[in-house]
Order: sequence, then structure tokens, then C-alpha cells
Amino acid sequence: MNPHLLRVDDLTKHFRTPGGTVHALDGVTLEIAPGETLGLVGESGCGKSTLGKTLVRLYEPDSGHIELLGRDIAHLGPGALRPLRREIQMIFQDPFASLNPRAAVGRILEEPMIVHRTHGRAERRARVAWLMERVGLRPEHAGRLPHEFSGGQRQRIGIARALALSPKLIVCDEPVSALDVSVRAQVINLLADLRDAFGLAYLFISHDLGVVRHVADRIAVMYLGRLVETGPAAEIWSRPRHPYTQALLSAVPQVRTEHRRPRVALVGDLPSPLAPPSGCRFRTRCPRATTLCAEAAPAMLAVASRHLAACHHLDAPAAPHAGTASSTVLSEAS
Amino acid sequence: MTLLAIDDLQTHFFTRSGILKAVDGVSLSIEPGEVLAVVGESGCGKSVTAFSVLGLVPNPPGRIVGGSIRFEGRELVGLPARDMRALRGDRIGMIFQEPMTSLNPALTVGDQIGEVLVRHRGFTRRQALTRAEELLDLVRVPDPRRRVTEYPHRLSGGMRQRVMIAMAIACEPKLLIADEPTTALDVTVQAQVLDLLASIRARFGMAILLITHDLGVVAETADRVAVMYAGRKVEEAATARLFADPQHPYTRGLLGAIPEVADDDPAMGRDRPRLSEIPGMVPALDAMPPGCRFAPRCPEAMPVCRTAPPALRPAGGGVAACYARQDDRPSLEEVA
Repeated sequence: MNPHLLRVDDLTKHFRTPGGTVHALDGVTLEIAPGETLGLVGESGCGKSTLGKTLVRLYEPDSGHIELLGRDIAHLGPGALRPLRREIQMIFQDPFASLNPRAAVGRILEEPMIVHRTHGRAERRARVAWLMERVGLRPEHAGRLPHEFSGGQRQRIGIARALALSPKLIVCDEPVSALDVSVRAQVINLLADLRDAFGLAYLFISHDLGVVRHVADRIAVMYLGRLVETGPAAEIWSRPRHPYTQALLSAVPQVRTEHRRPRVALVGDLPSPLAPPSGCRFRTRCPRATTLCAEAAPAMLAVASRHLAACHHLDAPAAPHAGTASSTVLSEAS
Repeated sequence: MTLLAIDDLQTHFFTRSGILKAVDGVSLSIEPGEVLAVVGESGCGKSVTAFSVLGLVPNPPGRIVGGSIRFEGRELVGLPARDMRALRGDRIGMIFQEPMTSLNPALTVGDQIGEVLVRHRGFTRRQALTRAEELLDLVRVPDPRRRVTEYPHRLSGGMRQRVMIAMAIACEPKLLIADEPTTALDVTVQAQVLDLLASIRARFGMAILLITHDLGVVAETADRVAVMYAGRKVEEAATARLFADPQHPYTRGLLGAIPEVADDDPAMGRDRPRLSEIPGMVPALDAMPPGCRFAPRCPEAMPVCRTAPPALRPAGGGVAACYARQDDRPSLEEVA
């Protein structure tokens, strides 16, 4: 028996555009165990959403493997893919854009069961009511249209739809980013309850590191199409090793002063994924970069148990000059 | 002298479905050089408050129907549009969430920054471009000489926000109104922009009215915080006080709903405690409850909360509008 629910090996996805080739994913390798929550973090354009959409095969990868329950689904055709699609579902950031505005909620929730012919008519109706109740909606509202619900309730509809086929893994793509703080907590708690009740595994994609630290068992950090660090959530939080992870964590504004980290300021912006830097992709913003970093891409190496990082200079002291750079700029400028 | 004094502001929107009281009796004040954050969730009226100060509330359907806004002692409510335009971009600077929609795509960065100086300071175009270059350098845009000739679409989100900041500070305003200035930015870029705002504030002695939904940003940048809920201010205190000892149940709920994990906390995934929730949702603007607007969601609501709105009174070193949380709490008979 395969201990992994999902194994992704050397996954690559490029998009050819008029402006050039976007290197969205380059050699991504990860796995998710049954019932595990893997948090995937990184800034806009790093490829985290592309990874999520490729895993549920909304995109076909250029190369690499996606092994779901021991079966490689990376290049399966629609017919062969269909039975496996039940096992892996997705929740999107904007629940409104992902719900048919003209369909009643009951119909939206029924549809996966019709498409996959998993339940008879009467069973479907009962299951819709059960799903709505399970996610905290009132079953008597099944006849309403999506626009009659608030943002938080719409996200609950999206979650109920993802649950309809009893999947083993749900890819959550920024599921709470569009929600206000008070509603966000409700949805995060709901996802935790469902995980506990059904043994669900999540790939939880978010730019919000605080949320990811809260929900995830393990965290993977992505930068410009590549994973730079993965490890147990508590360990990534307390002992981040990659300079990018360190900068990212230090940039998160913290409400409680005792949680603040000395800021590792990064210079510049994310390079374009149309022309990623040679070697290590982080080197153009990295305080530790040397000529080696431009020549060779660092491999993911074990730094502790189940903790990997891809950096040529893992043992260098943590970014002393980057922090002072920003405070001195003003005097240079004046 | 108080730089900005908003007193009992009422900004309403007159729509077909009724009068929406987006801002319903809000008072705020900012001293010179101070950073006041106004926080709250969508629809609480924080942005409408900022737009009211700038004279940018779209009319129709919106209108300031009551209260006063005094800037440097001068009343802004009812000020002729021409005088308001002279103030905006000069004494009062502004930056918004989405820089791309605030920048003119057909003008170069240099002309855009320069326009402010031509309009308010009578610079020639050449003088304005030279100053634009200096300003870009000041907001840490690399290679400013080249950047002044470029169009906004060529810039990243973080660079565009810097250009907006350069425009906003071109005339060295006394007050900068920043409406969700870093919400569209990634965290590492957000950190750069917040550092930048802090250093500009220190350099020019500029006050900032910061509108945001992000309590982390508030905690790291503001001197004082006002919390808004459903068109009203429910609490205000010095930043450290507000976060250490929140008084209003809404503020407490918001803080409890934020997942913040200590560095050395070993609990992960299923071992983490549930977040505290605020049940229900914000009432619609056309269906406000008669008493305290938070009462339907409040774990501590008493009968009086549902009948009469509580006034702001001293509480925990600041002020709070809550019957259950006031230092000089009136007896229930008094209130009734």
C-alpha cells in the first residue's frame, strides 16, 4: 500500500504566450499523506495556483508525474481520468466566479453527483440537504441563487460542492483570501471540522502565512516556479533555513509585538517568470548570493528530519546586511 | 492645533432601495505627524470616511448630510469644488489600493508626478521632471532617470505604488490619506512600502490617516487606532493599548479571529485550537438594528443593547461604545 495519497514528481508546466514562455512550474516534487494538510505559500506569480490547477488536471503538465492513489494521472485522457477526479476536488478563491449564477444552490451541489452517476435522484436530494447542513447552510435555502448568499456563505457552497463526491484530497486555492477577518475564521474552522470528520487531506494554497501556519501540518514554500523549502509547519516557522523563507516570514505584520521577527528586507521585485534568473531563481534578491548561485540551481537537501531546503549557502549567517539596507536608503536618497 | 478634526460626520447614500447610512456619526482627530489607523471589515464605512475628507464622495448618490471636517482649522464640508481641488494633492496627499486605476495609463511616470507640481507649485515642465526624478529616488525606485520616461503598465505593482506615493508627497502634504495602500501587494513588497511610508513620515513630519482591514499592518504602523463597525466608531485607543487590552466585544472578536502562532509553538494542523469566531455577519446598511449595531452578533449583549445605541465613553485607557465595557458605567435605569 502506498503511504502517499498524492505524489508529485518533477512536475513542469510552461505557458507559451505572445510575450514568451512563462515558466510557471519547473521540476516540482512533493507528496501528501492521507489526512494531511500541506500548506503551499509564495507570492503572486510564484506558480502556486498553477500547481493546484495542474494537480486537479485543469491544466495538463508538460512533463513529470502526478500519482494519485498509486496511479499516474499526469497525462490521462478524460475518460480514464473521470473515476479519479472524484478523489481530488478544488475550492477557489472567489466563490462567486466559480458558481453558476443562474443555477440554484441545490442544483450546483447535485451536479457532480449527476456527472459522475454516483447517486440516484432521491439520494441526491437527501445528500444535498445533508451537505448544506454539514457546511452550516440551511437546507431550505437549496432553491436560492448564489447571489442571494453572502461571500462567506458562497464559500460554504463551494466547499459543499467539493465534498459532494467524498474526495480524499481537496485543493484549496486561496479559500479565505476574499473574506473579512470574522468570516475567515468561520471558514477556517469549518475546513478543520471537515478534515477531522472525513479524514480529508488538503493542499492549502495561500499567500497568508499566518493562516497557513494555523491549518498546515507541513509547509512548502515556492518561488518563481520552484519549491525552495518544505518541512513540518512548526519547524518552518521556528527554524526557516532558506533565505527566501526567512524574508517572507519576517515580512508578515504581526499583531503581537512578541511575535515580530527582525525584518530581513528584500531588495527589488519578483523577476518576470518569462525570463527567470539562471541558477538559483532567488539569487537576484538574495543577500547571500554568490557567483555559484548564478551558475547552478541548488538541489533540495535534507536539513533536518523531513525538512528540505534548496540553497547553496544554507549555513551562511542570516542576512545581516539586507535588514540595514532599507533604513540607510533614505539618507542615500536625501 | 489639531490637524484634522472630523466631528459627527454623516455621509449617506440615497439609493432606490432607501437611504444607506454608510457613515453615521463618526468623529476622529489627527494631530500633526500622527498616524491614525481606521480599521474595520468591508462596508464599515472606513473608506467612505476617507473619501468624505477628500471631497470625493460621488454625488449623486452620496452626500455629506451632517457633521464637520476641519483641516488646519478650515471647514471642508461645503467647500467649493475649486478650493477642494487646490487642497487635494497639495496640503492633503492620497494613495489608494490599486495604483493602476489611479494612474493615467497615457502619461509617463515623470509627467504624472510633475503634473502635481505644475498645478500646485507653478513649476515649468522641465523643473517638474527634474523634481519627479528626485522624488522617484526618494521612494526608492531604482534608475529614476529612466523610469520618468516610462508608462505605468511597464511597472510592477510595488513600483506603481511607489509612483503613487511620489505623487502624493510631491508637495510635501501635512496629511496623507492612505486607503488600503498595501492590500494589493505581496508581503515582502508590503514590508518595503510600509518602511518607506514610515521614513517619509519621519522626514516630512507628515500625518497619515491609514485606512486598512489588516490588524497586523495597524499594529506595526499606527500610533492610534479607531475601530469601525457598520458605519460607526466602536472603539479608539493608542495602538499598544488597543491590542493589549481591547474593550469592545467586536474588537476582541476580531483579534481572536486572527491566526497568530508563536515561533516556538509546536502545535500544527489538527492539534491547533479552533479560532474564535464572530457568529453571523455584518447587518445590511438598509437594515440596521436599532440599538448597538453589533448586538445581534455580540456574546455579551444585554437587553439595553438592543434598544438604544451606546455612546462612546472612556474605557480601558481609550474610548468604547459598549454598555458592558465602560469605566464609568451608567446604571441600566439611567440608560433606559
